[in-house]
Order: sequence, then C-alpha cells, then structure tokens
Amino acid sequence: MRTLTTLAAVVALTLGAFQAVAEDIVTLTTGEKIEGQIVREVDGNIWVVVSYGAIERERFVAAVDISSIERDAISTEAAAAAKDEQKAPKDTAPRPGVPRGAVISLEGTVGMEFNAFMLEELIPVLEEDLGSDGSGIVVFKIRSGGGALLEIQKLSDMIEYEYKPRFQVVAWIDSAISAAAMTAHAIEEIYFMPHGNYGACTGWSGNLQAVSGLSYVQVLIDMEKISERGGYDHTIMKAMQGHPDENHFGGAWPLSYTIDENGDVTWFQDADTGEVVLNEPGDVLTLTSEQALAARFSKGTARNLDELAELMKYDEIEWIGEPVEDRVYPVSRAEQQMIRFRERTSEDQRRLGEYFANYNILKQAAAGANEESRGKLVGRARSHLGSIKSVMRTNPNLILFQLNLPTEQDYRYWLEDEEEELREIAARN
Amino acid sequence: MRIPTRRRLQNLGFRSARRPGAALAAAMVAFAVTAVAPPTVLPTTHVASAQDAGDASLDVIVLKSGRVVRGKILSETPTNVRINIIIGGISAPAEYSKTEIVSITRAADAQTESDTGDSATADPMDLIRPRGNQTDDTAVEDFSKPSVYFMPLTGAFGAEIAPQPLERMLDDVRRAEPDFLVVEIDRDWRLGMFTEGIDQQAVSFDEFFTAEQMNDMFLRDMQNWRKRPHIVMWVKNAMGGIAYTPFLGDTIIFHPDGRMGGIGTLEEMFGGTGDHVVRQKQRSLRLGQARGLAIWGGYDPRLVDAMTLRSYELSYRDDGGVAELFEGTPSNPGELLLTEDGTITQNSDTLEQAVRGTGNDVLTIREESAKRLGISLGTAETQDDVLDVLGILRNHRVVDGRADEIMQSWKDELTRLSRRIPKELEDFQNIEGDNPRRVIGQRIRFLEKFKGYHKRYGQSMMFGRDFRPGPGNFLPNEPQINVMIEQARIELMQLDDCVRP
Repeated sequence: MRTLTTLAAVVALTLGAFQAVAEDIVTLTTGEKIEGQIVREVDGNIWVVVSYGAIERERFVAAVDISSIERDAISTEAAAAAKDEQKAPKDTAPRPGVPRGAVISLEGTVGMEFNAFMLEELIPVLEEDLGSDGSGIVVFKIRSGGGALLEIQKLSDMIEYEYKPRFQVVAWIDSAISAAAMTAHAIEEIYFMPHGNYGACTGWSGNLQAVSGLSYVQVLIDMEKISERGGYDHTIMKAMQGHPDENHFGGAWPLSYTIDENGDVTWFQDADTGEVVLNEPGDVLTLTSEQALAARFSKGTARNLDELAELMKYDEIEWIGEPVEDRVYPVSRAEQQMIRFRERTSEDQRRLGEYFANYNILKQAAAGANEESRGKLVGRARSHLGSIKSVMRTNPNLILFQLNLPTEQDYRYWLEDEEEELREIAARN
Repeated sequence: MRIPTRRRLQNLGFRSARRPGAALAAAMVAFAVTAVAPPTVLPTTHVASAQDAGDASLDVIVLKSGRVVRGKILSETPTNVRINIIIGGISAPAEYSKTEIVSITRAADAQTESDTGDSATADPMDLIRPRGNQTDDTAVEDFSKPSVYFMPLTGAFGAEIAPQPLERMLDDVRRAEPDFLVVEIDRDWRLGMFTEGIDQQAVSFDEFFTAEQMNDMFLRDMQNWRKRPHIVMWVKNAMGGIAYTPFLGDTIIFHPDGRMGGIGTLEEMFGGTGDHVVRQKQRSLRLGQARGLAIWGGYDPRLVDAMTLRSYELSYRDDGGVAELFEGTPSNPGELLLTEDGTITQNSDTLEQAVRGTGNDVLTIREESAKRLGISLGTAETQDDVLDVLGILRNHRVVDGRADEIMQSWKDELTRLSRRIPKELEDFQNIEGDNPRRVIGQRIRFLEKFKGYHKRYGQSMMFGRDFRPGPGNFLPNEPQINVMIEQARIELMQLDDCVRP
C-alpha cells in the first residue's frame, strides 16, 4: 500500500477516460493496411508504431508506397471488437427462473491490474449479458496481494453505487490480502474457497514503515464506512489493520466473538470477552476459510461454481461465457476484457523502466549526434515516448504510481515538455 | 506469534487429525475384489449387465476409445456430459464431449442412449472393436484396471523442482488421463556438498512463494481438467519451500525416511526492519496462505502453525485410535508433545537434537508421526509399496508416461546451460574484429540469446544446484538486455550515417 501523502491530490485526480483505440490507418499501394500511430513524418515518408499485443514495433513506410492515410481512425480490429460487443451472447434468451451469472477475476495489484475505471468499463457488457433488472449475478473472484490504498474508496464506490443497483454482487475469495480485502469488504455476500485467506490490511510503505498519524486515522474511519456497506462489524477490519503504536495491545486490535443461541454473533475488540478469540494482542488478523465460516463472516466455503450456486441457494445459475483451459469458470465477454487489460498492464509495468531508459538514451544520443543521425535518433526516441504514452493510455493510474504525477494535467504538461524538447533537438543545425 | 485458541468447529468434512485414508483403503480393497476378473473386451451384454454386477447405482459411459467409465452423471448438455467417475471409494469429476461417446446408461432406468443415431447398430461395441478378428481379446487394453502415472518432483528446489518441468509433466499427465497420479517428492536437501541436511536449516520462509507457482498447478489449474486424477503425494523429502505441497494431494504416503518441514523461520523474517505491526502483517498473510493449503487438502491448519512458528505449542492425545490435536503442552497421561515454545531459551533445540532430527522447536513430520497423526495413508519404500498401500498392487496398469524423460531432460538442459553461459559471457565480453558492423551484430546476437534463456528458463536459472550459483545470476536481467540491444542499434545507426558519403 502507498502512503497517503498525496491523498488529497489524488482524490481530486480525475482519471482520464480510457481512450478508445483511435489510431492512424495507412493504406499502401499494394492494398495492405497498417494500423498504428504515426510518430514521425519527413517529406511524406512516415514512421508508424504498430502494436502486436503487448509488443510495439516501429515500421518505416516510404512516401512512394503510400496510397492514403486516415488519421485518428478507429482500427478495424477495434471496430470488429466493438461490433462483437454489440452482439448478444451466443446463448439465447434467459430461461425463466434461472438467473444468469458471470465471474469476474480481480487479480494482481489493486489499482494496477484491476481498478475502478476498468470495472466501470465492464458494466455495459455485463448488462447486455446478464440483464439490468437486478437478477444478474456478478461474482468477483478475488486473488490479490493488495495494492494502492488510494484505489480502495474508488473501487468501493464503484461496487456500491454502480454494481449493486444493477446486479447481485458476490465475492468469492481465493486470496484477498490488504487492499484487496478492503475492497471486498463492501460486499455483503462473501464466500471463500477452501484455501482462501482474507485480511492483513496494515497500511505501509517503503522499508516496512506503517501508515500512522492522521493518515492512519483517516483510513480507520473510511473503513468503518465501508464495513457498514458490507454489514460487517467495525471491529473485524480494525483487527486486520493493526495499530502503528506498539504500546497499543502490541500494535494490534484484539478480536473475539460469541455466538448466541439464536446464531447471532457479538464482536468484542478484546481477547477476553468473547468465547472465541480470533486475534490476540500483538497480531494482525488474516482469516482462513474455516475461521470465516465459523464466525459467520463468510456465507460458506465453495470449491467450484456448483458448490457456490448451492450456497447461494439457487437450484441453477446459468454461468455466461465459454469454457477455457485452466479456468474453473466460463469466461464471459466482460471477463475477457478484464483478462486482456490485466495482461497488458502487467507487461507494461514490467517494461516501463525499459521504455524510459531507451527513451532517455536516444534523446541524449540525438542531442549529441551529427545532422545525419539526429533525425533518425529523434524518431526512435519518439517511438519509445509513444510506448510510454500507450502504457499510460491503457492504465491512467500509472501516471501517479509510476510517473509520480498527481494529475492528468501534470502528465500532459510533462508530455508537452518532452515533445518540445525532441522538436528542438531535431531542429538544431 | 501466538495463535488464537481454537474451539471445536463445525465439522466441515475435513480429515483434520483423523485417519484420512481409512475410507480410501477400504474402498480400494472393495475395488480390487470386484475387479478380479475383468474382461479385456467388453462383451455385448456388459454395458447392460453393469447394473447387475453390483454397480447398479452407477451410470455407465462407453467411449469410442474403448474405455468404460462408471460413476454418477452430474450434468448433461446437448454437447457434453459431466460425470463423477467412481473407482472404489475414490471419485473425481470428468467431462466428455458427446462426439467421443458411444453410449450412456443411467443407473436409474438402465436405458441405454446411443450416440450413433443408427438404430440398426444393435451392439455399440461394434464401433470400437478392431476390424477383422473380433474375438482377439488380448489386443485391447484392459481399461477396467485403475491406471497409475508416476511423476518425479526431484532435485534442487527452484532449479529442478521448478514450474517449467512440472508444467510439461502435468501436460503429459493430462493427456494420459490416469486414475492415480503418484508424485514422488524428493528435494535435494543438504547442508553442504557432502553433508546431509538437518531439519532446522536456515531456509527463508519465502521459499514458499517460490513454490507458489507449482502449488497453483495442483491447487487451481488441475481443478479444470476434464479428468482430474486422484493425487498421491509420496513424500521422501518435502523440506523448505515445498513443505506444504503434499497437503494439496488427495492422499499422502511417506517413504520410511520421509520428511516434511524445514520451513520454521517465519518469526525471524524481517528481523527488526521497520515497524512491528507491518512485520506482523507480512507474517500474518504468509501464515494465512500456508494454512489455506492445509485446509484445501482437508488437513488441520494447526499442523502448519506447528511447522512454521517456533513459539507455537502443539500436542495430541489418542482419542480412540484417532489423534486429536490441541494447543499447549501435555498435562495428562497419554498426551504427547509435538512442539514446544522454542523461543524460550531452555526449550530451544540443541545442535545435537537438530542433527539427530529429534528437535521440537518446530514440527518436522516424519513417517512415524505422519502415521500417528493420521496424515499419511501408509509407508512405502518403492513404487510397488505405494501401489500396495493404495490397495491396487495386484490390479493396476502403469501408464507409460514421459515424466521421467521430461525431468531428466530438464536437468540435462540446466547442466548444459551452467557450462554454456559462463563461456558465452566471456565470448560476449571479448568480441572484437575489424568490421564494427559485424562486431555490433555479434553483440546483438549474444544479447538476443541471453534474452531467450530468460524466456525459457525464467527464475529457475537463478537457483543453484550442487552448491553452485545458478547460471542466471551472471546474466543481466531482461530489461537490462533490452536496453543494451537498443544501445547497440543506436551505434549501428550512427555507423551507417558515418559511412554514408
């Protein structure tokens, strides 16, 4: 989790709309179409950056080979994808009395591989496939080691105000640690997989430094509100967050509970009062599936979708999507989008350092190069800057988390400065 | 870290401290008895008479491959059938496309549904009998015997016991669709080149995360197989990062010298770095994930605590032949100590206890304790012993899989890589020549090759074998290589411009 030092700025951060794939389309005299981004033009000759999945390659096209150029067009692939997304699911109309469900995997780092704006992107497709009358079921299958503290409120709001009014929302816990558990905490219906674990929500940064002071108190209060959304006692999340002061019960919020004859659970923020102790002084709570079930925190433990449906008290749920190797659930169109986004983000994060290093090397090389080489080197530098831009377009959260720029406007200023610098270098005599 | 007091929980069907294999053992005996004289080619009436042969409660599917599958049909769509295959007392789900099916006979009505659509075909077995001599029974494999696939997970952890060879081996297992998969876990566990390893070697707990990708294959990936075999974890040495992996099997069998543990360093992780609460968070999440693996397999998660935490005290009592675990030290006759608080100086294991393997700061599960605690089904020194413990020694067929070949091939590749990389690095650093273009081109070629090693071998290249560092440690990482390639291309570009008139 990140520090809250830029919390105020980031709260004001407006994540840019996920830009659709508007690209340039170059038609050659041979009839071949090249879709990509034109990064340089000299005397009608062009350099185009073309994407192949997560890989980008620069391609030179001579003026004599060009038949036409369409700028900022929607690519044919995107058009086809958009057209696909217009289609109703292969399976026909819903069967009476049988709700439809879709599993959406929330995996990776909170704020990176999944975030609020990506969840928002999925809603239209989910509505098409599940209906919007509230009978559709969205299962968030969560497997995440946590991530950005700053993203939790956005995700929680997205779930509370956009998903719950449209669908029955359920969390199915594979592993929800830290920010991932805090995200799921807004969901009333939580089920665990047998090996599931949930908790360890201590905020920290750097060299294992705990979030403390005002920031810590702010998070405690925020999580009280989110606990209410899910219908969970405040004491539970506190036990998962721990306390930055080691003098406070050994840096902990102890936790115990008692279940009465009616099956009602009463929680206590100590290790003495309740019949069952879940968190001792000095510890930070991570629930196992057994503990979650016994404490009535989870609604049950399900190994697969059949068991999940049974626990949800449905005779049958029509799970939308196609069976895919190595996945225990059918992959719906929305889930396909999520998977693509996640894979792209992971690759981008892995290579962003490389893009920056190459960009800076080329910029420096161009600045010191002779006239013959300078143009080419500037062109290549632009290509790597284009890769950086592409990464930020795919996941605007990286503007803050990787570039350390608090707003999108700061990012645009940075880009303008870089492009201006490249123009100056290219123009030198 | 003290663990919260455990109360009696609702029985979730976990094996916990009970003998996990009693039901399995009985079922295997039953299976062996009923399968004494299996036919090699099923006679025409076999399908119908399956109902008469004591399997009246089972549905039967005949496949075009000749296999006969018995169990409980879970669901049927126009294109697929899902069935819970039952062999003795073991069941495992599988899914078949109807294009593979000759007939389906449900136990309820014994009505046979043929997929041929050809009402003139009186005997569906005609579709799968070999042409010509249809009485040649010996030509057809006996699919009524349970099939067993032996797979080694052996060698240096991280390098040889690694995701890449495991993935390839499991691909082969998946294709073979055996009834049983016996995973032989035997990690190379040594303190020195010529010194056997002791239970409490200083192994970082985060070896567990190195094993995570492999654990995922058992825990997650295999759940979606069309036919998931019954997984038997045969424990010879499951120490360090691989200590929890046996919990992911359906059955555990120990070698007489078998050991499971060596991961008791969680409390020492992070030392005094940072704030206490953050260190506790890190320990808590790791322990939570490790406990989850035990719960998945139906084992008591307190075993994980005992294996992982030096401060944890665990004992057991014999409750009518079943070991009942409890926290704390024995206070009554008949109660036995498993682990005591090793953070208290007078309790701390001595070096001699560590070498003898009699220490109790943390739990190392051995053959005897595995039996007493009901963790293992039995003890097996050889593959035949494993089959005997499973009750199928006299009635089984071993699948001729490629796992051994894959594992050996992987080890050979790593050996060649260990010799090749240092030499290639030296050659890379000594590239010279009169033609600068050629020199730069050679550099790029070497760099592309190094990049290829990263793609193919990943992290396994970083782990050592035989106390030598992994060859990957000498290579630049992949992003660094990409930057070096770009620099070389810049040089080429500038060279082109220099030579142009």
